[in-house]
Amino acid sequence: MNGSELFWSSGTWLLFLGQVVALAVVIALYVYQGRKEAEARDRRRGVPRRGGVSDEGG
Amino acid sequence: MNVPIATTFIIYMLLILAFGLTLSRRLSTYEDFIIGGRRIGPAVSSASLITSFMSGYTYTAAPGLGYAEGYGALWWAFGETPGNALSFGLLGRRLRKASEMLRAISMPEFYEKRFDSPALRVITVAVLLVAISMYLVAQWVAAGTLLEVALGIDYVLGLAIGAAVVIAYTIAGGYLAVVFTDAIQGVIMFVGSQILFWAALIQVGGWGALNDTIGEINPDLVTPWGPDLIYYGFLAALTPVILITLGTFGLPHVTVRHLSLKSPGAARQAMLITGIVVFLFSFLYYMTGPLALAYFGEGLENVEQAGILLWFAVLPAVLAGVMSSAAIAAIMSTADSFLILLTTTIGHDILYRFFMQDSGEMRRLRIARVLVGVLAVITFFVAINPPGLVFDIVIAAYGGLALSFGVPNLFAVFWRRTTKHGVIASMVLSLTVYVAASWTEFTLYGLNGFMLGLIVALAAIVIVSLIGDPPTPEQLAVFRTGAEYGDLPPEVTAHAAAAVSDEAAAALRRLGSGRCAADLGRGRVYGPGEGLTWRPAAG
Repeated sequence: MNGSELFWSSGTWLLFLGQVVALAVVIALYVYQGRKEAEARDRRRGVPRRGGVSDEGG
Repeated sequence: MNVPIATTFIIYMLLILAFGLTLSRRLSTYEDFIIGGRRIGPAVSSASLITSFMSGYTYTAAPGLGYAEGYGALWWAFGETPGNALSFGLLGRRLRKASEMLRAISMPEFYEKRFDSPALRVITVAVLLVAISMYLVAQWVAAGTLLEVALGIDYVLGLAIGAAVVIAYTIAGGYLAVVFTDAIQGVIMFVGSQILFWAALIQVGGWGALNDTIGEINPDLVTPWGPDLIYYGFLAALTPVILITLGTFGLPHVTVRHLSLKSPGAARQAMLITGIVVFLFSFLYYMTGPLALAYFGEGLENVEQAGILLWFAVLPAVLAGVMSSAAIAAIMSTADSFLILLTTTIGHDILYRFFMQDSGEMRRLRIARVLVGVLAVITFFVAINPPGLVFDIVIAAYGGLALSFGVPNLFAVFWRRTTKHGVIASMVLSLTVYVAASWTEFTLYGLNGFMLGLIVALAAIVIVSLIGDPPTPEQLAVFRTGAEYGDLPPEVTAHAAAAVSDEAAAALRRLGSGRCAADLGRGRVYGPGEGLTWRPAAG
């Protein structure tokens, strides 16, 4: 078996695939956190401020 | 001396020096010098984190590992994308927010204020001083060695040139100069590595030819398990992944990038940028090892020169000069971070905290600059005659920092029940186990010193925290607010800045908010209620 065949049959390519998965996780977290940040902004905008800053709904 | 390479290199050095000195004009406060005034954007923070993390290892040890172990060496690269990116997205966002609420501009200060424990500050300072000093010596040694090989000059002269440039712009420009020069150097490192990888791949005949050639030398090198199956099995493969990933959560030159972000929300953007760049980058410089093996064949006397020899072999002289600059950039961008960290640790966490509490900001800034110079000179002289086992000590320092800070950093912002006793036990016990097991080469069920230390670190922080008194309501309030999404209100950030900056305090007084600043100074800002509850004092 030559080196090219060994690369595929031994699963070395999975190391490269693993990097793609890792990047996908990072992108998914980026999207998730973006939604959470937007929710936090909306929450703060909806809360009346008095005597400084409040974010707990009162 | 190779004239084209030397010319390219000298031009590069002068440009970096000029850029760093120019940035010194933007430096006005103590906070600027230590953490860039907490106004570093996500792109620059990301580039700076990546370059600081990579260090001289990128162009020496990583290709050397790839040369000796083939694709198995990629296990060491595997943790870099998730580690670097998630250190921003998971740890960085919360750490940035909590540190600002606590008015902490260094990790020892964060630990003291987060857990109300001066002892914790002393312990973290001690660990940092030992680990960072050795790291810094190693960077000087790497710089001298690289310039000796690349330019054909004397080792000490190479050492002096590299150190002089870094020291000059670090003293003048502080953290601001460090992060912005890091960003430029990061671009050069990225471009240089891409050019080297693709040029070398074409030279050896493409991907298939690369695999066939190294497969003929040793079939094991084409598999993920390495020569003699050294990475075969779950534990063997996972240990380098865990070490590198956890290291990014604990390395102080990485976490200071979190503290200096312009806002907690910027951590999310920095995470994405870091993830993409490291994804395109981290495997490449390990892959130069197998490429060098295919190009040169077996028998290199010093495998850590594999990458350097490869770029001299496959690139024209000017591009080889750029690669040399990229390599020295990796070293310089790490060395400057350590210089700033050493200065912060001694100037801010020891002198200012315990001996010079009444000194003004400008005096502190002057002292910090003098300290950079003194420390650089001391480590420089150590590097002239480096200890024989510097590489081993640096590897030990990396593992030690990953254990002593990686686990406590995560628990401090993710587990509300964490207490000071839990953190102290985790740091002390894990380091003790790690050093003892590494020193004696002791293993247990295949677990090496680092993995044993990791288990002890996790067990100690959970068990001791649960046994002791629970956190105070104030500590819980800081934890909850730090964990929430959304940035801190401008009023809070202004007062936090005022607590560490004379200039910001004066600006606040001009705005008539001195009373709030005074209340902040007494630490009665965050109440125990859910959510963000900052209010100025009544009356």
